[in-house]
Amino acid sequence: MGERAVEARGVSHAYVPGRPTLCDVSLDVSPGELVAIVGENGSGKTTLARHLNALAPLQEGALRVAGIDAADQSRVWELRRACGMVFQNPENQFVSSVVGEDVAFGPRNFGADEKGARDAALSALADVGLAGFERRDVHALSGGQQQRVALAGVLACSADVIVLDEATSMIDPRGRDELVRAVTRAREERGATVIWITHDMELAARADRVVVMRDGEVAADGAPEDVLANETLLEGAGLEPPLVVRAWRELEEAGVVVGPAPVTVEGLVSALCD
Amino acid sequence: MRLTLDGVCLSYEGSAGERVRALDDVSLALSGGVTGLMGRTGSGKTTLLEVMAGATPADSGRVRPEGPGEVGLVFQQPERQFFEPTVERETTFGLCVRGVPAPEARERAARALALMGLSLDELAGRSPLSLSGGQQRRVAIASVLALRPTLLLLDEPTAGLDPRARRACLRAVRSAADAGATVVMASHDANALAEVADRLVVLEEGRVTLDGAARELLADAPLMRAHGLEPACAARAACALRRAGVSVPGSPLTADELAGAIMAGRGRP
Repeated sequence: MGERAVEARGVSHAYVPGRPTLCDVSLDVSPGELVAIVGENGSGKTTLARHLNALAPLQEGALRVAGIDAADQSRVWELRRACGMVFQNPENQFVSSVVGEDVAFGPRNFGADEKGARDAALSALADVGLAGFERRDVHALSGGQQQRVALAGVLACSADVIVLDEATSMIDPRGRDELVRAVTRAREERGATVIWITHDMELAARADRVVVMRDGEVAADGAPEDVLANETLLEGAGLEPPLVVRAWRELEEAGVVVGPAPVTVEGLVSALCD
Repeated sequence: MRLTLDGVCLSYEGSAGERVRALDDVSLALSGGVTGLMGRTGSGKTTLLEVMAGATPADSGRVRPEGPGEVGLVFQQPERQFFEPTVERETTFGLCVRGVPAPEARERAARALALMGLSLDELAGRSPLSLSGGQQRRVAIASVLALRPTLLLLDEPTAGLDPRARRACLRAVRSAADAGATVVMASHDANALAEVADRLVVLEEGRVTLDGAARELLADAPLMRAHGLEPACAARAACALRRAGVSVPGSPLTADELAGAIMAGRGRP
């Protein structure tokens, strides 16, 4: 059980008794995997994410994250260190207006001495491409840079699991690309496990796996090319397939192409050039 | 409402005490339709909307609204401004303070909510804060739409919305313009603007660097990239296919158009 980065069994949660937000969710994530979670607003994505670092208390079911039992109250801080979150609005999670102090806050809070916290902060800032930014004012940075500071704060705590909750929805496309590159680097160099909650189907198409949430339940869990090309499933969950899939279906109907639908622009190019 | 901006400039003091020029000699004439406003974070989009709304005065230049009606400004994440305890009171507040009788205010709020795909009958007594994020955004936009502004300004209205809420939002934007309002929508989402915008204005460091027909500009992937913007997905796909030697005539902006262009490139009707 400890080998998985996330192991959820029958997790249910209700903010209001009788109105469950999560119903019997079971989910496994392997170390180093990038899993995209998609679903309508209100489908339970954020509630699930909040369970992963104990922001939401476990009411029912079993959950282990980085080998830590989420029900064990004595290990809450350990769990929060192992699983860090990057939220939609980066300004909401800064604790200092100075980049280096903000990033060092986590390790210092988890018991590191000044030098240890500072070294962890500098190393994390370098990993997100912000070396030399430690004295800058976080509020003077672009949205993409701010999200990378938030990510550095998570990495500085040596988190094994990174949860990004709509982390690209308030930043411009260049900022999104910067964050995607920083996350990719964290996976490659630190072996981090990434759980990315998003409405961006093009981003989801680049994950190892896509999980679809509907009415608090896991409606599908599989490879992007299987899940994102399944229009019936997506429409049932209030979602839309990527534009490339919709275009492919029209070509298929006209008898121009055959075979499985590509889910990315690159996939479309190779399918049409073969 | 028509809106004319003539040589509008605005600067503010930066964190190091320096002058930051947010708007630099912006001149625009807007009359009806949906104008998309694109530009990187910090390019001046939000400031321009505030100046257009009369909420922030320009340092120099002229801002001239003409015609009847009022201005509706939907801020970024407008759901953060909820202050009434119920959806009904939130969506009728603006009308009630303008002296609109309660039954008419309710009727107009219900219509605005219906346009956003929500039902006042179902949500009337609920706290806006108890709704999902997508519902909250739609309630906030409906509160402005209920006022039937003749100049409607929206700052990133689709950011963070799921497809259903996004569709409802774009439908409402289009229908406000079709009813005669002048609409300006700031957005990073080229795919959303491809669906609703008639005209596109691009801001870079406070200056207007592109201004033209939305379709033509959004479909030109190299031009969009040259201005630091992400082209619409169909335009990116067409561009990538052409680079790989696949003939894709025209300027596709939607899935239908992309499929049609690929078929046309293969000599299919």
